[in-house]
Amino acid sequence: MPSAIEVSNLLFDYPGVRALDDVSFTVAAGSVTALVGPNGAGKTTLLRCLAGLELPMAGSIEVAGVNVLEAPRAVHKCIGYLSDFYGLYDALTVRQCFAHAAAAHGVNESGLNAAIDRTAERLGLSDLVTRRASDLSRGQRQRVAIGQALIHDPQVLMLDEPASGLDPEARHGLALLFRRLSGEGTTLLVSSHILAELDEYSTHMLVMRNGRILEAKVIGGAPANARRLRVEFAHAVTDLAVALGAIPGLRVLESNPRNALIAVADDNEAQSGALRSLVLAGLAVSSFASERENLNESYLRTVAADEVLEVRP
Amino acid sequence: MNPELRRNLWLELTLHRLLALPIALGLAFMLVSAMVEMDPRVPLAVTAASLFVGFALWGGVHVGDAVMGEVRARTWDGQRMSSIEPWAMTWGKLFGAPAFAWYGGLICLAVYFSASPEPDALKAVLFMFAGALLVHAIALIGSVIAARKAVVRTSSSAWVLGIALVIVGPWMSILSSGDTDINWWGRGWKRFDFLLASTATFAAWGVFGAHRLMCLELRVRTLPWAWLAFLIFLSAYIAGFGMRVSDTAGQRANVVLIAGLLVSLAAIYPLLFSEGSGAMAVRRLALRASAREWRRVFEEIPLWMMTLGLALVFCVLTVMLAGPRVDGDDIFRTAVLAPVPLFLLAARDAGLYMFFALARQPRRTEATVMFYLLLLYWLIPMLLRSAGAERIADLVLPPFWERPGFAAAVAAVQVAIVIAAALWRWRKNSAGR
Repeated sequence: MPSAIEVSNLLFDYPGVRALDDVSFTVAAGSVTALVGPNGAGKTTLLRCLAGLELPMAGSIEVAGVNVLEAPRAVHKCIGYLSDFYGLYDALTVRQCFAHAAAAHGVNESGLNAAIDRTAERLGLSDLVTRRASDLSRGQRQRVAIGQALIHDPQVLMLDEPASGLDPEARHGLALLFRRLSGEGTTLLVSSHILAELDEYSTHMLVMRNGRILEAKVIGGAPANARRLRVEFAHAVTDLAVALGAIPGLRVLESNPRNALIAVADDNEAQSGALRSLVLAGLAVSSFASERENLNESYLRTVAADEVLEVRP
Repeated sequence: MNPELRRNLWLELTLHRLLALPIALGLAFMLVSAMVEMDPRVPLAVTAASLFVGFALWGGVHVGDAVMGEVRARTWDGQRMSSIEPWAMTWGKLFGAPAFAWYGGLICLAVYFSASPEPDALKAVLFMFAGALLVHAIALIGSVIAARKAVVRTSSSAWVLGIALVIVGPWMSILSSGDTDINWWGRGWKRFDFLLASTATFAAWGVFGAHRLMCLELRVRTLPWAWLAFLIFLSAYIAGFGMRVSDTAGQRANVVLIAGLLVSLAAIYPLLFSEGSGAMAVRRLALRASAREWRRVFEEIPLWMMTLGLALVFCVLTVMLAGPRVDGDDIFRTAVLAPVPLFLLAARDAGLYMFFALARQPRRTEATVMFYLLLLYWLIPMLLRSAGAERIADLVLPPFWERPGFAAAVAAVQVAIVIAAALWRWRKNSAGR
């Protein structure tokens, strides 16, 4: 899968503080990557560097094939960014807010109304377009801000705490929107403290701490567009990994003599085929079920591993 | 349509405002006409001009808030991320933020032009327009600088307009006082024509300066040639007042060089206090230089450093070209060296600023530096002199005019001390990185 974001050896200092310390990672095109970490980890600084709003000390950043440090203006045209501390033009109506955002991002006058209507519909704001931004609730304002960031159909959308202030229903709607955007080919990088919310739509996870990337991984250990399955066997199988590895269309993520975690293509046919292959291979399958790793558990495991490394001399 | 202008028009020009303002102004002008028994044209023109000044100042407050207000409302990042080009953003804010004030102002200018019995009414209209534009451009520059420095805590941006008026007011007052022609570059110019041309030229520079700052803010990569070009223009402009008809080309060159030195030295201080270049900027520059990214070095170099470099060039040229030409008293022969300690003192002050800016977590750098400059230039020398310790006072504030050689030596030692201190702090804070 091609990369939508490539970062290498990024260095950023604030007075007396190293905010980003030799940060390198890639984000796959079309993925939804959760950027997680404690307060002060450097998430917002990283997003601002990716958006071309801050100039790092050293390193290189490429977003949507554009070198951000060489051509920051060019990258602004193909990305959308929602800041953690966003603001709206309170005296404007929602329609005017969207119209300004669209025109400011280069949407033609002829396509302006269509872009506004599409965005309002996507964010569930169609009934509110004539209302002033100052008259909206916090959750509605949040949705307007998200709409402004995506109104020009950016290739890469970066959102800093997009769900703060949203009620559970709106959060679920946002998760559906993110999945739909991802399905349409948009790459999303979402920073949030609410891991349960990220769990709903993220395919990848970047863990940050103290300005460093601790881990960049596919959530659940399965690649994007793959299904994770836990298989248990009636009795211990010697060389289980070898036996499973010989089955086509199946990838072993982890195994021990009594059970294994495998990945297959993300559709029911592939899952059914995998079960058939296991049985035909003479393996006594006692349980076969999809399993999704909890993002929170994964994050805590990564952080715990880092803490162990820090404690060791 | 320029999106930024349109956004401002949505905010500024509501139908109610569009209808109410002409009615209110019309009533005001009718009242003035009805109150006077003589020919109402002069009072009408005076009223219109006065109202225009009021609208221009009101518009200046809006322009001053054009960027700072967005930073406060947290919408500025969105604007920086937009595809709006710097020039479109500049004029969109310059004419959009004060759109309502311009609406009223243009009505007043039209009334002034039609009512004024003066033969030069058109020139007066152009002068008022250019003057308002100049003040607004300076206010916009102030607004962008304040946003870059994150000086946006207060809710009022009127102080930016105050700075613009402090810059423009005395200059206009000096040029407009008196009836005689103005001597500039050895030639006589009609006072009002010169004032109009000067105001229009500086307004153009102001708009251009706002555009260049907007380029920086919107992350358009630029080299600092525009600033240097403005300093050279300003030097030539100011030098023009010091030239006589009889001056030779060499004497004129001397005047330009001395003006250039004084202008660039004076420009260093507002730059130091407005650019906010600290340890991060220096570290970034050092990394760029070590990677031999020279274009980046010149893109990111603080303007005060470039200005100090320009001052050095003017200083060297002044001493080299002026020295052999000086005749007459010894004091003038000696004073040829005066630019050297002047330059060195400015370099010391820049070093002092960097010493405080390079602190691990600098706080109130500008106020601290101002405090120490006050001590070095005024309080300590004055106390020492009043106590009879003239020689010690000369070590603090060297006599650059009377004894420039000695002053240069003292200033050089001071420069060495502050540079050593700044380097020590830099190395101390960079350790472990």
